[in-house]
Amino acid sequence: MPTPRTRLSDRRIATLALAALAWLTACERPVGCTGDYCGTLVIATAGEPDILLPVVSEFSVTRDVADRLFLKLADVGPSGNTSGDEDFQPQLAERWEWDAPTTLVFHLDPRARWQDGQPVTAADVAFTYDAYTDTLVNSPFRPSLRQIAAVTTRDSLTVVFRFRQRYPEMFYDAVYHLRILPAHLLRELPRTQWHSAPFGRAPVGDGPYRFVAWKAGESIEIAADSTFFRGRPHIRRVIWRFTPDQTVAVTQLIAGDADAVEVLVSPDNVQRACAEPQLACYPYKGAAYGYVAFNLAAQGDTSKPHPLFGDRDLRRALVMATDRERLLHNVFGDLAKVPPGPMPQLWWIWDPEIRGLPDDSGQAARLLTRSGWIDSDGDGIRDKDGHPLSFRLLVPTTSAVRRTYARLLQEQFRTAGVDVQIDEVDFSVFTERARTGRFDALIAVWNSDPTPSSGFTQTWTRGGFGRSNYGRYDNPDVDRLVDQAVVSAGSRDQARRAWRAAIETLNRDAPGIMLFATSNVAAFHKRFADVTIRPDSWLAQLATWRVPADRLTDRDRVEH
Amino acid sequence: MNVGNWLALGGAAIVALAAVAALRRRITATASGRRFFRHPTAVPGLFVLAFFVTIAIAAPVVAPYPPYFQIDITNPDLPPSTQFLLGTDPYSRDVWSRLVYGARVSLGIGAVAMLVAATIGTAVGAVAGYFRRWVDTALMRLVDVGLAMPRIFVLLMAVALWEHIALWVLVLLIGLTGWFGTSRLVRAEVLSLRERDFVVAARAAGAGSVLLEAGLSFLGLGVPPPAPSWGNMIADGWHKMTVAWWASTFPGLAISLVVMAFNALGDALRDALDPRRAGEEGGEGGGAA
Amino acid sequence: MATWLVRRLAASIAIVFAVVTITFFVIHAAPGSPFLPAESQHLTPETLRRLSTEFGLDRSLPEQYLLFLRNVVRGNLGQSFALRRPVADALADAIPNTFTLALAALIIDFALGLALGIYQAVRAGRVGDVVSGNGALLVNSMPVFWLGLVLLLVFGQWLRWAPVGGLSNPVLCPRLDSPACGLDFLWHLTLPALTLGLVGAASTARYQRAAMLEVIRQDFVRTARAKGLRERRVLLVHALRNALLPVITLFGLAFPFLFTGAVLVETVFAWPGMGRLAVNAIFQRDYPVVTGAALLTSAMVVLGNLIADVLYAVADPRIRVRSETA
Repeated sequence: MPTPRTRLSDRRIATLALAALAWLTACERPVGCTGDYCGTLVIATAGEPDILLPVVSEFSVTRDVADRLFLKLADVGPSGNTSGDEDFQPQLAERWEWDAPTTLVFHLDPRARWQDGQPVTAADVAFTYDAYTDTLVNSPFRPSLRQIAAVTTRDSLTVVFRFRQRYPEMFYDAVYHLRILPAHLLRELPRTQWHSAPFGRAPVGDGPYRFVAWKAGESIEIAADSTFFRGRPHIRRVIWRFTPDQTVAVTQLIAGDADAVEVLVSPDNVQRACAEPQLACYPYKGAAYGYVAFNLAAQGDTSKPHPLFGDRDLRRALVMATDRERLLHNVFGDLAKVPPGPMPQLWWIWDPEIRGLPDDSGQAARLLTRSGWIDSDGDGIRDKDGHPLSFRLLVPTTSAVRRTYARLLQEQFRTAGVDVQIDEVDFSVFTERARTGRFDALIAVWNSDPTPSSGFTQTWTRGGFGRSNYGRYDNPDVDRLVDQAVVSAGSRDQARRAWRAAIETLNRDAPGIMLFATSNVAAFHKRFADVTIRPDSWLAQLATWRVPADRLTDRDRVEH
Repeated sequence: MNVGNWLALGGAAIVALAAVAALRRRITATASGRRFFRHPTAVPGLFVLAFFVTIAIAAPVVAPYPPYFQIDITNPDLPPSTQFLLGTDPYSRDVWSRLVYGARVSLGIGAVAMLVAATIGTAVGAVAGYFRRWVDTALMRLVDVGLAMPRIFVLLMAVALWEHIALWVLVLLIGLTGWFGTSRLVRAEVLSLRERDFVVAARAAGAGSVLLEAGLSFLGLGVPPPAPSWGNMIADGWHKMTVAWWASTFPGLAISLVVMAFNALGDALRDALDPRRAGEEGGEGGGAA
Repeated sequence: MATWLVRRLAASIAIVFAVVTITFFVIHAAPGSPFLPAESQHLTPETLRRLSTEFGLDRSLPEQYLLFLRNVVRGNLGQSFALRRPVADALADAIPNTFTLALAALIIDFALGLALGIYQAVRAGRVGDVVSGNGALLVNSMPVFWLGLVLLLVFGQWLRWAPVGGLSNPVLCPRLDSPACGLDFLWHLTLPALTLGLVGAASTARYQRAAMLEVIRQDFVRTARAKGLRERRVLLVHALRNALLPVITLFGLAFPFLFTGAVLVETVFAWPGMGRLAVNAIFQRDYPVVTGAALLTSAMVVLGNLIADVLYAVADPRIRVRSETA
């Protein structure tokens, strides 16, 4: 019983179908991009940037995207060496020299242009430094710039950095964190509004790639700037696809919906991905370490010690009660090591000889009993003065690794007579409670800078109060030794000895349980050649990656 | 699984069968009871529920391990075997043992929700239907508001905003957000003195709540670890589904089975109590409720 | 009819208003800082104070409530703290996605559900009815997210017939407004819509079967048969028309289910819709987004009920009369 109306819509559907067919056939014909500059790289990742304005975001995925759009003055070279300036590679600055031991002069490359056509000038650099150190912007990188006294312009292409003192990693401090921003586009924006600036959702940069699109919850796309003054990148498009978790990211990689995953994380994922004939796996040193941080201060009142973790013996007992090797084996298999202190494998101070407390549940039990923690009421949980040995462990729901660790720890502690309740909260809530000290213990993971000088200081010294020293660990001996290692050590060996002494002192105080230091494995589709990974920032060498002309697939050729 | 566990499991099945048989003897005395048991899904539905209730009560003898016990964390994800009936999960816990203890939580939530729906829902509906006028209007507008807020949204807000919520509070909350539909139907029933659909609504509240708990746990906000519920068992096993399918498949099946039993019983009950159907068969109206 | 409609409409607006009010006060009654965790970690105390003033957080609760209402009426839903953009923008991005998903699921739900229900009613008691009936009962009893996970695993990961989540293939389709994306989008829509649609269809089929059976037993169908009309015509024209009435109620009830289902299905399939937005916002304590989402979802649920009521009234005038006298 066809009525005229349905007939009309039938015709409309037919037209639509034809159009769709035409598009499909047009797309599948192997025309489009050919040659050496066609590659398309689709990265599957479990995190999405909050804002593409590097000064206000510390997400590593933000860094991955923003570092393609915005140049630093210079960057760490393939060696990863952060001392002196010999191993650094020029980016926005074509060269630099030292006018005095604490005066560093950069000469910008005159070819550099913002993607709206304006030249990049020394004023942009001064503006950027001002923004990074402005308390209203309150950049997470501000503490890393504390040794820089001033940044001034000498002429439109020359900029001068003045330091407070001389130390081995001063050049690193000057260039590693600052991503130069366009003053002409951001000057009018009130500093309090930088955290939600519209610019951060449609950035204009000066780097090898320009921003194309950001579909919230879906993907970000950037495209190579063929006129980039340091040479056109071989990979023409880079697309990040956001997935709910790491497993889905690996699944997309295996299914061919993505080309690369930064870290496979679990042995299952490694097994799944590396067994695929079309994928290649690239192991590299891990920049991350994870630990249980005890809150040494009382919740809500940092002037008082925590009722449990204020006690050094109790902390030491809990550290010894943990069988870190078995935990590690369950979560990571071979993809991590038990660290000898709070450090990732990437740091040059990594040394298995550094002494720490043993994993020894017998000794832990004796220590607990000796300090009066006995199960007097037979409920399986130790108690003292009528208080059970019970605490809450805070973990973010977004991290499968930490959730797993929490559950395994909960059971290990239960067998030691310690009751643990797990609080799983969203990452933003986790960070907020961590920073305001509203927790008993938490599992923290730091994806660290390539050098301990700033990361360690911010996490384990007094200078990190209100920053990443969530547990408010404070030992003047450690502070002094760290200061000696960072600033006054004359040689690398002296610095190494000072670091070692600092970490052994810290280990004896047991401010946390050092759980793991990752070894990473990235996976790529095999058509990508010349893939090299700098462990502190896996996409840093993207400019050298390419898809050879004879390996191009439809994905690389597709035109828009 | 040792011999004792197998015997206990067999015993649970026999107890469940006996319970169904006893119930059948008791209620086939009435016409609606006979109609109920004539329904093809009534007996299997009753048996499934009776079985899960029995093993939930007898959990310590049916389950070989405590539900939170991690057997050997360096060797997790073992497939089903005679030792581990349904395999072990990523934390090296016995899936069967957790399933058995999890039945307590999941069935408990279903039961509480049904109870709340049957009491509060019926009371509000009856009051509204009986008093009419402004009482009716006020109560029914309240119900409208309740129905307009998706339950999962309300519960997520409650659980996420008040950080550590005790298990019993969660169960109660799930129950307290599930009675709106029932009260509306009961009101209609008081008005018409005819329909028997509130049975269906109470059943839906029970089944719906079991599913809801599973959903909440899947989103990471349900029953807190290490307590087992079928919902958080699925969530725990999910990220390893490709290497150890058993850890989240079996609790998923258990949920489906129990909800199916709820639904089947509801169908049978509705048909048995439906006066129109009754008239057809020449029995007395809906005597029993 | 007109007065009835106006009264229903007024009641609907009142309900949405009540939901928003409740949400607002529940959020403000929650323990802990009511203020912007995602933002506060980067801000100095003086900036925080300034922002508090800007958002009116230093005023009394009733004042805040009035301010909030004034803004809502103006269409200003505030600024999302976690997403760092206006709430209205974030919602505007998400709504079309959820709407498409829900629409596709509804179509599958009713097309498949009605067909199956009619088939079962016609073959009542025979093998086809029993098998499909129990199948429908099983699907109807599965947790919707679990069904999604299983479908994703089987069709996405093992067989690789369908994409493993997401809205579109970003390689083929960098911007959603390009017409070329249509097919790719449909392709990505298949599994999530099927997941939601199947669960709905199972329940629709069960209702439709019962309704159809009831009608078939009634006199006018017997009369039609007696008049010698062809069986197919009797069933499809006379019986079906009457059996569709209860299904309209089902249509109204489908909306809350679709939203609940969407929350879970969108999470499983990484579908950037309202459900996922709302869940993330709740987790992140992104209060402006939570209130905005509550406003929208309750409005959609209420609208669904309203549409169902109107359809019902149009289809069956008796209802209208009854509800006016009640």
